[in-house]
Amino acid sequence: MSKFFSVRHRLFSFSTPVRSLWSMLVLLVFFLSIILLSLCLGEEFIALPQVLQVLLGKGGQAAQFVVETLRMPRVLMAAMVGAALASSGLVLQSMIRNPLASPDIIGITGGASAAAVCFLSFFATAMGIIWLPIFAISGALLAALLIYTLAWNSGVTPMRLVLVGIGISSAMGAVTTFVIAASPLSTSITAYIWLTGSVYGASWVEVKALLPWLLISWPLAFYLARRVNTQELGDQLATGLGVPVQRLRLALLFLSVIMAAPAIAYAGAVGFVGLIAPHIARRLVARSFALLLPTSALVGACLVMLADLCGRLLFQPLDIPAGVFVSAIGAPFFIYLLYRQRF
Amino acid sequence: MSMSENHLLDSNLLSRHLGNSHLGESSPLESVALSLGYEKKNIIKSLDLVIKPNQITVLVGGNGCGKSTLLKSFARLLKPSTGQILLNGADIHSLSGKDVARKLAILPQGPVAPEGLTVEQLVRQGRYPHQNWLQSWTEDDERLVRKALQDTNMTEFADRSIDALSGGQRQRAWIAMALAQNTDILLLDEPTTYLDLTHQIEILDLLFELNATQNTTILMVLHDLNLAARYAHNMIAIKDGAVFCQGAPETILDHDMVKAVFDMECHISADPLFGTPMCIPYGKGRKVDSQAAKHV
Repeated sequence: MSKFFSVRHRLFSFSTPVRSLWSMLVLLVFFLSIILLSLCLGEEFIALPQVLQVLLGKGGQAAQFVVETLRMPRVLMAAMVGAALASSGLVLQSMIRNPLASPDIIGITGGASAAAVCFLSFFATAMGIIWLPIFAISGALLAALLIYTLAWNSGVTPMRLVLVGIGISSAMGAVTTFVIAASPLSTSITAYIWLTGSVYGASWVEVKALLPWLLISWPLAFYLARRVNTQELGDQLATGLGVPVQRLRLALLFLSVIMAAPAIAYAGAVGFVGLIAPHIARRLVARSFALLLPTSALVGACLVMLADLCGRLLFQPLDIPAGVFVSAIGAPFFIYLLYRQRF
Repeated sequence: MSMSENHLLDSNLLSRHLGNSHLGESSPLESVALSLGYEKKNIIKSLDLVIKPNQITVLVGGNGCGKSTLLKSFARLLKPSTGQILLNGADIHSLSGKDVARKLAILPQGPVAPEGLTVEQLVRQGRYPHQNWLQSWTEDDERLVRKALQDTNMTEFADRSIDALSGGQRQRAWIAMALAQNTDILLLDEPTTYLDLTHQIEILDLLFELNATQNTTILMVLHDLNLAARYAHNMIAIKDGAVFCQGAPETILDHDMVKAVFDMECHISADPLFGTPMCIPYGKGRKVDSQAAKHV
């Protein structure tokens, strides 16, 4: 039998494979290194010792401004957006029992995008840009509600959900394209950049706005973890084990929306993370939702942080949206993982 | 022989009688005026059926006769349109899912494991109804998972991924999961489908042992009449959503029953090894000189 790390106490007990814990530790170190690296690198290089000093509240004023006001919120934003989208993708893939699901494929991102683009074209000047997240989140929720209602047929089956989702996604895509095409050029450019996804100019305000969503959704996801594992065995077995499958499915859809939508609202429609991060996570840790959740989140965070770092550095003084590089970094790495697995 | 009456009333009385005995064995599972259906089509109509405690009961019948549907409703996977399923005397739909899962385990037909899941991880899931989110891995959990792996001879495969197993091993892994659930009642829907003969016998032997050593009440659907006759204490033949007859296989399995339930002509003889009834279907096929066959 493989080694499990088991904890038993009068009040709580759990058990988890040892190998997975090591993988997660390595990933965590990698994650922290990328954060530090992102704080050091930029238009102006700041050496690691100085960055560390700034973090401890010392260091020069100029360095402090660059690290704490410019780079830190942007790095954290990238990390949170990546983590949120990855978690949302994992939740959807587990719910649908299909590795091809992600918020961008089943229409959640599409709903948020359509709402955001409509807002940018019709309401932004009148209402002010701070309303954009509200519109994007509402759009995502509306899309999810629509998907669930249309897929309902005395209960919802995963396959119906994903097919209806793909339909909704392309319908939302059509709305988005139409609005962009019908808008004046300046609005179209803003909308287009939003659609690519970027953490450019992220500030502490946005970090503080996004964080509460994650503080709600992650504990909820952990709470549902064992049920999710059971649900992955199929509806009949899960019901046989005592899991209320239909209620769980609705809860998971809602959970995936409140994970992805706020991230999309603040950073735009960063694609691909939600699809790929859970896959990478599955190659790293054992197949258990409670392990896959933090692992996917870390992988997603690393991906978006690296993508943003590339966007900042490679084409200076241009600042390329992170969304562009997520696929550029993620896809080859993913294909490498699949390729390596053949042997 | 006398216990294998076809009359429902008798078995009802029998179970009530047993219920008052020192063993405390009332029927663990029964249906009362049960009707089942998908959409508007009724598959089972007003069925009363009592499953005998501590025995192996096998449901047989032709394709689409409603036996799988019936099994699912006994496991709370289907809601009856009218009537009730009673689990230890209580309406199964009035109990919580976990409550039911602590008393009754179901292994549906052809389950599929998520890619990469190992045998041990699968078997651990059987403990779900006994856990809550603070107590997710107690010593009982550990012990019962080990025992389930042992009982199914799967200990050496504990770390293997389910997709890397042969059909027989895979089915044993699923059964191990159901065993880890540690229930008094085990329901299985065609546990031997897609398995070669060796593995069919292996699985049925395992279930027979389980019943013999732990008194587990087993209710399953089997396609192979001869194997059903060999392993079942009690056989229930279903036809058009109703019980055609029930009782010990040796008392009910005959030419007329097979003709009526399966619409097939056959010859019944005794199994030379077990003495249980054996059904040999008529039909086309090669005929071999019995003189030549003797030398085989």
